[in-house]
Amino acid sequence: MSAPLPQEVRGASEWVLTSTDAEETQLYWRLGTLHAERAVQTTSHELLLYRDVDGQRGSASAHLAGDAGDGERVATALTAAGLALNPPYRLPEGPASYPDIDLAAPSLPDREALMDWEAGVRRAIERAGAKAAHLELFSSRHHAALTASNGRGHTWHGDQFLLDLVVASGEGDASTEFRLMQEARLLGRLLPDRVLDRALAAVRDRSRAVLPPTGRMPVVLPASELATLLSAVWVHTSGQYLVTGMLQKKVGDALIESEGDPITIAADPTLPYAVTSAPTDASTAPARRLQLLEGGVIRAMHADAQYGAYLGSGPTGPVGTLVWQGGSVSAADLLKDGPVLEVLAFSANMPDPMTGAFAAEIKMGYLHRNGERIPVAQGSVTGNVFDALRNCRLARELEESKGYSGPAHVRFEELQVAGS
Amino acid sequence: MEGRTLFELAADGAAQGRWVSMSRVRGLTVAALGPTVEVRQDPPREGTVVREVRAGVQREWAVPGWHADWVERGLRQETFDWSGEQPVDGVPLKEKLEAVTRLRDRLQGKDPRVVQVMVRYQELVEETRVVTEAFDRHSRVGRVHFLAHIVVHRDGRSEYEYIGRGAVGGFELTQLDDAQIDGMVEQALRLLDAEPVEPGTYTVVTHPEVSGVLAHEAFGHGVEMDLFLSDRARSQRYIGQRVGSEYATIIDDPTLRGGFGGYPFDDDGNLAAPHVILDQGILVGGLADADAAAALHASAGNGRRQDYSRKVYPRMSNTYFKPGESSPEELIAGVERGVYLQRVESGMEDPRNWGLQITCHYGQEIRDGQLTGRLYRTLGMTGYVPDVLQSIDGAARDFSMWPGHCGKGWKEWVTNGTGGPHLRMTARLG
Repeated sequence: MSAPLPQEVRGASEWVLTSTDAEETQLYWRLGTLHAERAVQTTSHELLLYRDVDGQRGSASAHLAGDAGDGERVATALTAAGLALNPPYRLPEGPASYPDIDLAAPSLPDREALMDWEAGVRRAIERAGAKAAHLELFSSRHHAALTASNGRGHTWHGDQFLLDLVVASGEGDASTEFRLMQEARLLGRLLPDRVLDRALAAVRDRSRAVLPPTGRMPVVLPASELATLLSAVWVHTSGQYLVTGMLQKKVGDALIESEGDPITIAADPTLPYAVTSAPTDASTAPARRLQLLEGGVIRAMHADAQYGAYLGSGPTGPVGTLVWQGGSVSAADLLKDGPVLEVLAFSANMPDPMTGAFAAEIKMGYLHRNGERIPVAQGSVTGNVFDALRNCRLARELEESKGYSGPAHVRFEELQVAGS
Repeated sequence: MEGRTLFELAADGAAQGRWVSMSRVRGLTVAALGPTVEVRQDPPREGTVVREVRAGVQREWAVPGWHADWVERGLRQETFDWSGEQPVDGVPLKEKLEAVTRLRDRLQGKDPRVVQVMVRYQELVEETRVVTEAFDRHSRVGRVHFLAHIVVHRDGRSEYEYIGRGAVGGFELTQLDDAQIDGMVEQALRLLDAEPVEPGTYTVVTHPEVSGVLAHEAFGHGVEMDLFLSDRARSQRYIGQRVGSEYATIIDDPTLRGGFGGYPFDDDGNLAAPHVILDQGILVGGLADADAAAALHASAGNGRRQDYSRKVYPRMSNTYFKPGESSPEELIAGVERGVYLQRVESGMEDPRNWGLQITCHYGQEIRDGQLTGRLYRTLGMTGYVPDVLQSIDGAARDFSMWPGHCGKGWKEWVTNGTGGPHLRMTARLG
């Protein structure tokens, strides 16, 4: 599947060619009726070229088409690489052992199986008195091959399923909806029961939800919202951002000085069937588990070949899934000692990865107070990821979502809630 | 798909007589991050799509490559070139790199508390051709986004500020305002002392960047008419009714020069035209692609796809509030206690329940009609869309557009522009 390399590649000091092709089925339903269908082929041959000039190194990529124009594409990329010069580094040397990660089922479900799957989901939603207003289901298998001038090479394939689902309930202005976006490597893992149950609870309770009270209070977040919070941890353990000056803390420094449960997080690109797992990064570094934080202290920073060389650590491979070690209490116990705000979902939770600040509207949640569970919506929760992580309690139950594996719920002891 | 691939359709001539679209998107990023520089060519997204609609189902076959030979029908080709005054293809890479490093070096030396400077030049060159039995349209659109971002650090705390410019056009868009460049370091340093806002309901004056995102989230996504077909949009029951004050006029205009989300014809091939969504507070109508327009007897022209690998949906282009007659200073002068909201971090729509979320990087206190200089950081603006729009009691006569990328839900990313004037309204902040 790799494109032949044009002779101009000899002008490069090093190179990596990554080829991928995929076939995808896309199905679209509206109120239970199929209204659109697509069959899509994609292909890509990206040649990453490195060029050394006067003791410095530049890189640029050429996208090969397998035609007579490839020579000129490579020549143009080499010119670009000669202009964008940085301190020297090299690709990893010597043979590499790439992990064999399960990323695909033995066979990809066919169109009929996808139609059956949608019908099953729709029936489950209807049994709960709701409807699937909108459902998109994508199914694809991709094949990838990596070859490089350092002698390394690897081929792999993986499946990908994507679900965009809007569950709705009620009529007219009293109607409510909840949107889910799910990704998985296996169709059977695309919509876990607990995720659908949350969506159904949200549309059932949304119509009687009230604004939460304003004040500082404990807030419990589900795994689906924790994944985005951890994006700030990913940035603050980035070798690239340390080298380029944005970060002040390095390996051995405490990123989070915990007063609650200790914060221990690893990056693992080798988890079977995880959406973000991959056997190699773009610089031919094999996937491996990397302990980023231990008890809030930075143990390693993730880096590619370039920034790994500048740090002296070498490349650490792809990041994959952030794996957060769970706690010792049950998720149910996190809701005690109220009032506690349990957030089912934010409308959009996009913390500033540099400062850690966040402010998010409550799409749906519950206020636990004096033994009552009161549905709440709108209003907002604001805080700072790093301050919040200092004093939090982690559920012992674990859950996985895209890029996240860790506590199913986390209780942050004091966040600002704005409501009534 | 009935056992036929697009290749088979093309081979037997079956693509003739069908709707065919070819598109290629070529992207280049030139960036300086601290001391390092980077040149990155995005993977070219080039493909051909053949469409047919049968029994109410739209079917598309999409394959890589620009297969013009499949659709030579002898129609007169309408061509549109929106490459700007200085088309990016004619500018040497060296010049693009110099524009980036020159600005990086200028900002790097401004203050010892500046710990990181990032300058990024991004160009997109999009070529689209849509051929049907009735027309053959071909466009070339250039988009440039030039951004400078600095990080400052003091006493264990970091903050950032950025300036940028993005629109349909060419390399001329890399010219930034000197006063803005000089002011961004000072502003970033001031943000180190910013505090959280006391949660509550405030009179707010929105910077055009915030006004634009309000238009986009309130009555942009909420009137994308595929939502009408799935009974997801509350707005469809409010056409012709008042949902905002007389100062609330919202327009979506793909032909607006200076916007980042413009195009001469949409990805269905329909010619672009402005659409008034809200006229002085009255909801007029929505935005449709060919599919929604046919089903709802609406005018099309807002069908957009991320690239050939994705479906066309009704989408926004350049969405903005129409300017009023006040000055921004007059709007602020009328506020006894409030907040001047600036710098959007993110926004989110809620088409069924009309919730609103806009997160701003910072805002400034207003007391007795004056900006006090006291800064608030990371503010969440929330509310019920009609309440917020009904509360608008002033629109300034200034106008500016801001570049962005917008998803439908959490995918299907397209370029867009948002903007308008300064507005004054009431909203909940936290």
